[in-house]
Amino acid sequence: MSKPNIRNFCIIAHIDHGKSTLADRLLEKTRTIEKRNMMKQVLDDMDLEQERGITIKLHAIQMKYTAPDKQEYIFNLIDTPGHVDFSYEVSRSLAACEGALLVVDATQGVEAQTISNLYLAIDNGLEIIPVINKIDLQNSMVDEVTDQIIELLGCKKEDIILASAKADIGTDLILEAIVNRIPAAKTETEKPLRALIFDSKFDIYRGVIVYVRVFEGSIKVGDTIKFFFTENAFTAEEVGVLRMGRIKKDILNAGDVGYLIAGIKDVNDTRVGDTIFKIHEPVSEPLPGYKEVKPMVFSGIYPSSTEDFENLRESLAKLKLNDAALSFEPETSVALGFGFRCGFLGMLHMEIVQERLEREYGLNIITTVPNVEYKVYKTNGEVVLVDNPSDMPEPPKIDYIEEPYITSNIITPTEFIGNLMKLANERRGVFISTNYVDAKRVDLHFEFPLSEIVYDFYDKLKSYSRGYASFDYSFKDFRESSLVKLDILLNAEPVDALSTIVHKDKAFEWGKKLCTKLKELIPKQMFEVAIQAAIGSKVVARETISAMRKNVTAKCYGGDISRKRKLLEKQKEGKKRMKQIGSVEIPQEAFHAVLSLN
Amino acid sequence: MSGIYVHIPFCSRRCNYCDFFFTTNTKLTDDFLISLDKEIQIHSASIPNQKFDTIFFGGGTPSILTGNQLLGIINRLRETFDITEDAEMSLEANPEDLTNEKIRELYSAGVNRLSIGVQSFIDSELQFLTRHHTSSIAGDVVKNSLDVLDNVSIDIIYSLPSQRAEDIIVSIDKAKVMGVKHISAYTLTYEDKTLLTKSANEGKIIRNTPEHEATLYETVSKEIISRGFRQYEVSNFAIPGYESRHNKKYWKLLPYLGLGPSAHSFIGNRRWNNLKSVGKYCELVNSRKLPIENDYELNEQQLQSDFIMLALRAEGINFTEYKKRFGKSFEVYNKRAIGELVQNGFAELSNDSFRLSTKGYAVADEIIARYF
Ligand SMILES: Nc1nc2c(ncn2[C@@H]2O[C@H](COP(=O)(O)OP(=O)(O)OP(=O)(O)O)[C@@H](O)[C@H]2O)c(=O)[nH]1
Ligand code: SF4
Ligand SMILES: [Mg+2]
Repeated sequence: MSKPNIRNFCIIAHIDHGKSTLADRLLEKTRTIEKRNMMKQVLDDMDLEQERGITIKLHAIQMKYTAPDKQEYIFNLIDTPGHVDFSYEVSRSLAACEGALLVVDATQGVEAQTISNLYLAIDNGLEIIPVINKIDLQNSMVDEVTDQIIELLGCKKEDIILASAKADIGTDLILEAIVNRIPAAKTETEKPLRALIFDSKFDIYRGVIVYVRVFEGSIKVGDTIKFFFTENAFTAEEVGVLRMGRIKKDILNAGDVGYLIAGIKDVNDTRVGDTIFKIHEPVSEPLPGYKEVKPMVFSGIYPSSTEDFENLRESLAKLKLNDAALSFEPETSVALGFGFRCGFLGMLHMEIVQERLEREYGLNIITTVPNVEYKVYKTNGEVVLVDNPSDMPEPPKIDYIEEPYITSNIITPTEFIGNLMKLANERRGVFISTNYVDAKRVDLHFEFPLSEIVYDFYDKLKSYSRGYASFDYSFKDFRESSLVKLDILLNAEPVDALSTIVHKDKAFEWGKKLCTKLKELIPKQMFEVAIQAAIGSKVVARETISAMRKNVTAKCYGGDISRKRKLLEKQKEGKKRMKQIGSVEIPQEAFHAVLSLN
Repeated sequence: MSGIYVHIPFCSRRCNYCDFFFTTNTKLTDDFLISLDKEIQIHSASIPNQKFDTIFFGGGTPSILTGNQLLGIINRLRETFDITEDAEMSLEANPEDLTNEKIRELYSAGVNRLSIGVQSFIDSELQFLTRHHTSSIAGDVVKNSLDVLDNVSIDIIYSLPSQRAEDIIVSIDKAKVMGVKHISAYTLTYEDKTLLTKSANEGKIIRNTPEHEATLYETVSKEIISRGFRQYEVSNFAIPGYESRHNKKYWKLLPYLGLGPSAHSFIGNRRWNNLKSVGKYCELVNSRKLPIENDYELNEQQLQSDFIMLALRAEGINFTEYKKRFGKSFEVYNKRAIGELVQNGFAELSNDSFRLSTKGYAVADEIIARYF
């Protein structure tokens, strides 16, 4: 048998430009999936992905392609998410590939994550195949978008493939381009094994399943293998490739993408980016691996009932296997008990983690107001990182505080520049420069305090630009700021989980808004509830929830006690989902009241 | 001692707020009475060892029956079950049915307590509630009933849209002056699928705010109590000695047997209820089957929680009784709750019992859900 002709590539783009739909066409054309099993965005196999219509996880799949000249190829495709919050999934996918399809929506043109993901791919030395997608749509702007891509890539017009993933236009051209333009994977099977772990997940029957790209050597069932960083040794129990399910193989060779099961039960024994080698063929150098991701947003996750704490710990560990960007550490809250401070790449990431914990692990959890991480310089010379407002030292002990800044690019049609300048101003943005992408579009370069963009900036950006502007950002540095800790007191008791850190100039307004919001969210209780916002001992805002005066069913009719009991049980269920702090019952929504403030 | 509830599933028409089970097809009355007789016979074997001291005819509109029809049922019940000589026999009646003759018929059939669906002594309110009588008819009927039997109760529905406290006091006053012994005063409830709720959802009528309703509730309770009545349940008031013996069975978790479609029963630790259809009821009973829809056994914990829920809505929890029944002490297990509730005026504590105050009754559901 001749050596297989392998092409490893991923599909990258700005969100919603049609990556997963293009993947559908490729899978269909190569008959990887039978027509009758086909569904929209078939690789988005998580319920959450289908429901929200977005890709959250990278998805790897193998296809067999027979070229018009009857030559056979193996394609390993990785579909990636487009949303900024999942960019870590993209960078890990890139490291397992030699090429990338860069998809650009013909009606939207080049957007912020088109550029950022392209740069990631170029950094990884990937061959880029630009594809203009959705050309079937009436409002497509093929010429303009072609110009934008030429400008961006420095490629020739002929290099760009015009396609419609939906209408199956250009699919054959793309398949041929993959064969002709993406370098074949190197197949250095004689060398000692070096394989990169680019993803993993936990399976209740099989333990940890790792997804690997074999760069050198080979791995077969029975091999004793070792992980370079975690230094744990295991025996390979099963290897194989990924089709619509796992397909067992005897061996994975250099160039292959596949999976490995090695009886790994402890989720801490593996980590993505690690290199696998054989115990009797030690290697001196690991594969390049990945940059550690730095979480941008932090929030507390607590079990609704305290006895679920261990369960939550295990679930987070398992989830982290499948979500390498998640970080967590135990913490305690006076209000909420034992829980974890978790780090996320953004709000959507946080929301998804929350939902996955609830759906996949059946947990009932409470999440607290998200915040960024602060660098606090204390008067005694100590410097501490604070990712939880309640850990903020007392004001007299603080010399000054620094907050994280990001550097960002906003790509927008020129007519919205004014609006967006205004938005940037509201969010303490620092203007750096403007670059014209083409005659009608600019790339506005700003620096922002991260805390100003994590909550609702994206929605605002969209509404200030009628949906046309897009936005990309990355961490820049820490800068000194006038920040204060705003505490919330309920009936004079501080609720640590509701504390936030805000800019001094915004503290009063926030305090007021927060009190009003909490008044809306906290139901009437049997007692009056005073809500106060305070900076140190100074109360800056106050609201009162008057006592509930009536809550009783008038009639317990004709001995129908069951009906009454059912109502009562429902009421009790509702109460279970609340947290009691002092004598006040607080619904879970109240803990992220801040999010719905604007 | 146990109670018997008999559901008479007929009304001449439906009041706009009502979600009780009945049919307006009164042609079924004879069939129903035959089936009821059969249901009683089926139970004769299955309900041993119970002694009954109350019978309650509810509905629907039991006053639709003639004195003879009623007598037939009562005789059959007495033949079949062990019923005390002095049993309380209540009957719910609509004012328009209660002619002087009817009152006497009922009385001679054995009815010794009438619960009259007066609802209000103000005509515009009666119209709003789509009732068929006028306030003057209601007044006459109450008076005439009191001439024949001493134990007369009236129902009042209040908290109608934009109703003022003074309006309700009119009805309360009138009841007191006439010598009514018992008042059930219910706030208007917007039940699912009623015409009333539909109008409210369509914005044709405006519900009272909980605030306003709370004020009315407090006023009503205060006004009735000040006229010599004792509040012995969230919505029930009696001149001492005239409490409804039957209703207290529900509230004290004592046994009762329900007969007729949709009737509920509680005997042993079992709760069950009959299905809600006159046709199916007759069909099943005629083939000698019990017309049961739901049937389940309560575990110890459910019994306790029902006991507490019901007692708190009524005259409170007697510590000795609780201990005898459940083998543990209520006051010790609920020390913190009792303390907090008493301290804030929601409840009263005596040597041997714990009960809600008027302020507590107003938020009884909240108290039960939160503390027990
Ligand atoms: N008209 C038209 N619609 C398309 C085409 N390709 C994709 N779409 C639609 O665009 C939307 C987004 O498609 P996806 O394939 O989910 O996009 P994606 O890039 O995978 O999105 P993320 O993974 O969330 O970043 C869907 O509603 C698709 O049906 C196309 O060629 N023509
Ligand atoms: S008379 Fe009574 S049971 Fe009949 S409809 Fe009116 S309220 Fe309902
Ligand atoms: Mg996708």
